[in-house]
Amino acid sequence: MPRSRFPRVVVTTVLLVLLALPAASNVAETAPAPKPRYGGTLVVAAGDPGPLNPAITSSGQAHPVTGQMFNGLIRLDRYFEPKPDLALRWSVSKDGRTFTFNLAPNVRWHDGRPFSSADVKFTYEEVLLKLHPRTRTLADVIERISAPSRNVVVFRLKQRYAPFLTWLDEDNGAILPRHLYQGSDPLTNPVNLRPVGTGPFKFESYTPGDRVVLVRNPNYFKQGLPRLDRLVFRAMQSAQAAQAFDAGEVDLYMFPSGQDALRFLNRPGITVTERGREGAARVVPLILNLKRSPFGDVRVRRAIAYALDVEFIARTAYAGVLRPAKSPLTRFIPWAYTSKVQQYPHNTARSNALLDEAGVRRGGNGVRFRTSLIYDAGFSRQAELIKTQLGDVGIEVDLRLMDMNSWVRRLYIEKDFDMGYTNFTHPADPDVGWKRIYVCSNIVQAPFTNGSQYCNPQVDALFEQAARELDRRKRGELYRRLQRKLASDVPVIPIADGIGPWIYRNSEFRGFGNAGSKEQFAFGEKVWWTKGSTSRR
Amino acid sequence: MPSARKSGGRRGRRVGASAAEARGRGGFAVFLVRRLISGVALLAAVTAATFVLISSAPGDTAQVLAGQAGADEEYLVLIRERLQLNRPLPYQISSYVKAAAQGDLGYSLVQGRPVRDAILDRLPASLLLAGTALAFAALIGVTLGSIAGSRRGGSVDAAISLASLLAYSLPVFWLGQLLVALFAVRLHWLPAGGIRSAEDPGGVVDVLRHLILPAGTLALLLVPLLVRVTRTSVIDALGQEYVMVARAKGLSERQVLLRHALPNALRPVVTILTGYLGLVLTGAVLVETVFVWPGLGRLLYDAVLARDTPMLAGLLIVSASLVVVANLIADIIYRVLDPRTDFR
Repeated sequence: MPRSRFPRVVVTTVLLVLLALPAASNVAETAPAPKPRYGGTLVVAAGDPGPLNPAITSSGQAHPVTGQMFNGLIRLDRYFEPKPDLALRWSVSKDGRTFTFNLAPNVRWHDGRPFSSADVKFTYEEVLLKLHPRTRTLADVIERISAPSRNVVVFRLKQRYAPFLTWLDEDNGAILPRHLYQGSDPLTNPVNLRPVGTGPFKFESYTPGDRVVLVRNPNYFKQGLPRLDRLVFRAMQSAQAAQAFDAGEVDLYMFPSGQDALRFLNRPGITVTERGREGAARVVPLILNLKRSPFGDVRVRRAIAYALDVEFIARTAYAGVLRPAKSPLTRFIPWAYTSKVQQYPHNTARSNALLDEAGVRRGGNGVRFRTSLIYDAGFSRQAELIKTQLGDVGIEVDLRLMDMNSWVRRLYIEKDFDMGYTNFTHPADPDVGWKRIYVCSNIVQAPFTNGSQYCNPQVDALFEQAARELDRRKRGELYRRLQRKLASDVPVIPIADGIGPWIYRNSEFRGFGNAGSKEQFAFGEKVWWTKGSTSRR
Repeated sequence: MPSARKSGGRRGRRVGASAAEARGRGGFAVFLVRRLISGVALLAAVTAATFVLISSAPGDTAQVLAGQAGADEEYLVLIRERLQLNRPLPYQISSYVKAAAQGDLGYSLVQGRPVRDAILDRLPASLLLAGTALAFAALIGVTLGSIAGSRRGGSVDAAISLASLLAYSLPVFWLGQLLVALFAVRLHWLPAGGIRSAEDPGGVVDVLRHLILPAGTLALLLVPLLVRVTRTSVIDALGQEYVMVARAKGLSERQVLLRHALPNALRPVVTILTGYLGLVLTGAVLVETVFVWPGLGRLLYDAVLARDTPMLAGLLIVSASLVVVANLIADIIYRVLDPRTDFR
């Protein structure tokens, strides 16, 4: 659709939404904090989690459930700073390679057995470093793990590694009970379907395809928590979850689409907020295959960046829920982020000039070259806009909609594509989520790696240097240099930056916004029901 | 497909019945054995076809388990080894068939449990939904079809035919969302989805309240075909000589329809209903998805998305088995309806 003809009312609505979203986000923050109450059941619409072993999966559907039953050594606050969880405190040796954790005393597993440092050592050595899809990469970092006493565990690293602590939360480092997993295959241990953790809620039942029911752990090691009696996770797809939330059958809607967010925005008694989901912040890039002509030419890549009106794409295709990206890195990592990088404001004249300069001239039919874009159904609107906008500068785009698996295979495994459109979550540390898109060593046949096949030793060296630098201020400067370099080289074109909200009934449930950047995995600990009892009976 | 002579109805002839029935009994036993053998062959073919189809589709379970977070190549290799996805296809098929013959349908890493357990857990919900929908559909479809057939060309026939055509053209997804929006979101009469509510789990009334919308939707999708088939069969039966004889005896049109025409008109209806039994169990994917019904249809949907090979193979084998069993049941019912049925 031509931009000039886009209905003014839609643009106005979207602008209103942009203004209203932060306001809505503040509902929970600015309201006076009444005294928490006890009891009640929170019903959550989420996905079907599958096996409830958090140490073998990075599934976004499993962790909202397992996060209520398990703990990591630390938890990340909303700025990705480590805070105590199973570890009350920790120290780092002068050489930056030894981390000593003092564990909380008197922690018990849900079956009554005492928790100890042996559980931590076992979980890392036998499960996380072998079977967790992400954390197993730490095996190259960790030299050894020791448990010198019941409440002390020590990690010795092979070399300095600045983001080490950010790996140790429940999402990437949930601790399992050794007495139930030792000697078994963690992938198929039946305990995975009746889990035993240390967390605020205990497992009661799991009916696959229907629900998971958790009940309060009365012996939780954090005094006075949790406040709710039960959590019920109902397995629902997005459309069904929206209907159930609207019908009042669900109190927390975990993964709403942008349209659903708009549907419930400004409804009384309902909060639509990004707070607590900072851990899911992402930049959505257009990936260019640098091994295919003419994308190897940086002038062509810059021309494409100028041709794309990312403001318009963010406003329309993302309904204002995500913002136009101003940097290759998400703005939700403030200590490393900068928008002072080369910008590509929408400018077709500049784009045309760059393409001419690169020798990619228009043919008789006005077309410079034909290319294709692969994407899955979640990005249909974005793909159509990209096609239209690139068409304006003479680049004819064939849209190739495919299912997620085909698209992953074409882009990451076979590298058989021209342009691809995808999500990339970045936190909690640029080294964890962001580096993988750009470094030479990650041009591998695995999903969500360096699909553009960009390889610049200078960039790799900066990433390496940043990973070893323990001073955050200096690290931040290294990452800002990287952003400037990557914005200049544009191997991928950042389109939108944001998180996507979650939705809950604030008229009945309070206490959200207090469990860090991955609150969607830990909300149960502090949330309370406004109609509950004033004291725990 | 068994055949029966067209002339004469169940109540329309008796002469020579015992000889025909004796032949029929022998033929029926042979027929059953033949059906069982072909059923086993069918299951083997379904298993092989399932593996070939899944392996030729892009992506695999390892990729899905790796998730959007990404994982290194070694992880993918490790998972593929666990699932034997790196073995040649004939090996995968033969080892699966051997295990399946012993009742072991494999292990689903995606579900974290044996496939057999996962299917057996979902089966009751699917049977409840399918059984209720089929019962409703049969009752309404046969009733309306009979009325339309017995009043061929009249305004009632036209109204029923038009209504069934409309119902036939309704997209399930749209209809389901519409019903939820009306009865759950707006009126708050019925729950939006699921099989039990969060606060009152498991009560009979609670489950029945959750059953109304999905079973009603599924039934509504089956009714139009039943109406049309019943109507055509009834029209056909009403033109037979034994009906003329019944009318000549002075029976009322109602008696003629219910006692003579309808029983003979039910054979194609039985074919459809039993055919649906197999399909409804795993074929109600859309209805189960819209209404968040934890049955085999959603399990199948999730298994496809996750490229969960053992689960898909298990579900397709169960589905094919149900079709085989349903067809056998249909044959038995044919015989009850018309003992002259020739199964040779």
